Amino acid sequence: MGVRMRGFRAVAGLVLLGVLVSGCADDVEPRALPSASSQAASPPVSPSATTSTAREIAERDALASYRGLMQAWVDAAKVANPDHPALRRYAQGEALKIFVTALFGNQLHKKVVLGEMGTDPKVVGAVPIDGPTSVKIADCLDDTRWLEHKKSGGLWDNKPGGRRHTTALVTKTKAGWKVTDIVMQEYGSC
Amino acid sequence: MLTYWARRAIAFGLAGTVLVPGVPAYAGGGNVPLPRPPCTPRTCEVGVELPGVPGSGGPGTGDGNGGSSSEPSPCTYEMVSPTEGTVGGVGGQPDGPGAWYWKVCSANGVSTSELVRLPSPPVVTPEQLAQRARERITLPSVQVRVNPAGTTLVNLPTWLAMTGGWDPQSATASVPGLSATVTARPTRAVWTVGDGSTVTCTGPGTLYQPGVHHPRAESRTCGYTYRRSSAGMPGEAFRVSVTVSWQVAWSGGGQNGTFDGMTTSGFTLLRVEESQTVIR
Repeated sequence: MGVRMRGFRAVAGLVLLGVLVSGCADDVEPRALPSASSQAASPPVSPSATTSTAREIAERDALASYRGLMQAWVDAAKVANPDHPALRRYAQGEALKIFVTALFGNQLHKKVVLGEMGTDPKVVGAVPIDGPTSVKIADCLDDTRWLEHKKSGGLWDNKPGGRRHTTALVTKTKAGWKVTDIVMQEYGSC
Repeated sequence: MLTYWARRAIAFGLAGTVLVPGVPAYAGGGNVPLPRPPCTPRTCEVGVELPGVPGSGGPGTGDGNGGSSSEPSPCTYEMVSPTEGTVGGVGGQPDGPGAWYWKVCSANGVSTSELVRLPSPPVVTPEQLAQRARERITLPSVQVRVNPAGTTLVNLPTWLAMTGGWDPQSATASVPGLSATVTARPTRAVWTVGDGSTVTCTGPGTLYQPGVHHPRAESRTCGYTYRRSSAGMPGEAFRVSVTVSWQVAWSGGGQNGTFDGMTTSGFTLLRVEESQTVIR
């Protein structure tokens, strides 16, 4: 039961992210999530200079939190530490659960991830327009040079890694901007 | 004040999305989950379940059935001890008794992992799985072969042996990701020869072979020499019975142990006569 609900949530979540990008209001039909390239266009610029600044600040801060989370993930995965403090600084809710779970699995299996992860995040949406509290970020995570290793040494397997289209929602909280949701697609999706 | 996003989320009954590796870009058509390509273990280890995958936890899949069903559980559960920080990271610890488990489900070559809190082990531990395997073990029946057969003499060595009752038996039971093997090995045979004596042997005994063994030789492995006849016994014969004890050991999931032993038995009737009546 829970699985199907989660599936619904996941798919609906993608729809919602699409809605967020489009900036449309209510009664939006479910629609295709725009491709990364079409999302890459800058959001509409508000005519007001002050709101534009607020928007720029929000996007900058959201992007910084996203980057911070990716760095925290790399740092935590290097030592398979699900309790890495920086994860909590930059993520909460479902997103934090995803990373903590993954890292706990690595810790359990004595698996570490070494190398450099490729990341190139871009803001692809922000609402409300004149003072965003939710920012959507698209990325193409590349782990071809960030590979799983046995803690005791040596590669975990012979899987080459790859590039995954990734979408994250960053939300303004009392404790700053935090990644609250993240969806990674299959290898080769970007 | 709720943001537009939050309002939409509540309208959908959503608190957020989950990471679903391998989810294709949404292609319209309402809320119908789309077919998903298999994800690699690497992606699947990011703590999610795949929607729409049969056996990954939906109703009627036998998820966590603990082994009473004939359907194998698609999930395995390993009891783990996450730190307080990790527990907080996955949403905190619910009230009430329970333990944390690392739940791994496999279906159609797709594996997903999750840290879950459960009130009791819902599942097959290696020992429980081994118990299931133990139930499948059938020990071979004992065919008693004593020599001389039917009638023997006082003071003449009797060879005690069996056929077919001394072969180790094993059985394996599995669920995805875990299997346990049980092996039963015979350890000793206790012969009750009928005159009040018992003989304990550590093997099945040696079958007497005419022309190979001398008729008056003792069995080197398992034998008995009667000192009195079976006259006066029911049917004028001793009831010669043997009970074989089996040690039952299991291994699985990196653990091992033993179960209660098992026994098999068999018997035959043996008439023992005074040798002097024959010699005379």
